[in-house]
Amino acid sequence: MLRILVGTYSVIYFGVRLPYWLSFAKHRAVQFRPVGVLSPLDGPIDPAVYQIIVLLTFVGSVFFLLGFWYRAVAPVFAACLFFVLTYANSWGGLLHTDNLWLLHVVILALAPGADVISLDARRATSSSSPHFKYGWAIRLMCWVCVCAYFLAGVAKVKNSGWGFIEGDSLRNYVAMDNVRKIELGSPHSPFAALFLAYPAAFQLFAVASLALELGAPLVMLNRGAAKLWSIAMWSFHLGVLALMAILFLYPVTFIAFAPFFRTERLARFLRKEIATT
Amino acid sequence: MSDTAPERMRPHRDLWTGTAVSLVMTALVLWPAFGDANEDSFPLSTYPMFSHGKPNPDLVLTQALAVFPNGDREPLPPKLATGNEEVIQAMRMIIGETYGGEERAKSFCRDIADRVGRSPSPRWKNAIAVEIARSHFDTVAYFEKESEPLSRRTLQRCPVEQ
Repeated sequence: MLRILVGTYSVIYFGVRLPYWLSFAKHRAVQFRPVGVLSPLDGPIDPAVYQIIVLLTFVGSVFFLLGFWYRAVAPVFAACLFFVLTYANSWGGLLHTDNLWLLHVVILALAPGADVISLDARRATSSSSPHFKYGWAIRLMCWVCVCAYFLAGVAKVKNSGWGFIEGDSLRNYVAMDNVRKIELGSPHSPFAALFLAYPAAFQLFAVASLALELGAPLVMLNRGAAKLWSIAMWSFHLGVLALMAILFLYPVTFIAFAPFFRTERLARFLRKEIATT
Repeated sequence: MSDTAPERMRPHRDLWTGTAVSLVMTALVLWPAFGDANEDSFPLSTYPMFSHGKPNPDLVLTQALAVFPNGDREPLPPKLATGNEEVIQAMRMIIGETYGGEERAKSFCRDIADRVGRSPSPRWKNAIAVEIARSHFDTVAYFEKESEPLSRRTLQRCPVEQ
């Protein structure tokens, strides 16, 4: 079921933004700032090659969602997506909105993610059952999620010290980010001005966000705590969207936090609904 | 039903595979925490967004503006200013092109003017020029009192041909 959720997100998100991913083939070489695994590159790759990889990535996302030829295609899809996203982040500005999505795709691609509810499963002769070979991937998806947020909290403490919890920096950032967006002709938050009038609110936001981030690994000790934390982090992202017009789409859809829940219950519910119609 | 040796080995193989992948991936994801918080990358990141202290609400911004006959100036959206719809990447592109040498800055200004001139949007139909300016804002006062910049310096200006 996690493959279906992440796969659906991948197909829709990657597909709708195809023009955006393809546009990087036309950017000027002088603006290229390779990061990650592309760091050794001296310049952009051939635009036609890049665009073929983008299209292959989209096709791969469909195969991934359908669970078709999964063992062979899923790792290729993950590799292509890894390349395209790294390339898109190599033009002078790192975007942090797609990291978790990519990590989840990589994990699912390395796991037997198509043993049920897939085109491959329809051809299989044996059925699956709860087993460690499925559980490790789900647990790992949870771990990379909490680690990402933990790192964000560590960065705040390293760069700002504990003074972050006073809220002044957060208030100034919210103001700055919105003015920057307005003056760069970009959508901005219509609510920021309302909250900026109340500095104390930002102290509350700062304390809450730092507690959620630094405390993230602890929630792995208790399933109930992990679920509550997921809902709290989702609310945090809604707040970021409301105050700063910054959309972390993967967490906002809640798919980023799906591994903390028993998504197989959703699968059983859907199967029952399909069987009775 | 017989239980062959490979079938008996499968649970152990799954255990070792899952454990190995889990340990390696967790280590990779956490690795940035042990380095400089500002050494950011993708997809292994330190997630340093808004992590530095910001003791004041000042903002110095290099921006692309459309100029109208009455003297009004309006910020150009990222796609028109740079061809990139992502605002942060567009901002970095504006900075790179503007401060990368006089010829590069002039060429960038002309490119923007060309895009504005060709834009089908009625919003830019009457624009007569493009300016690249460095503006200084008090971002809290921007919402409380006055949205005009504290100061603005025009770095480049080029005409728009409609």
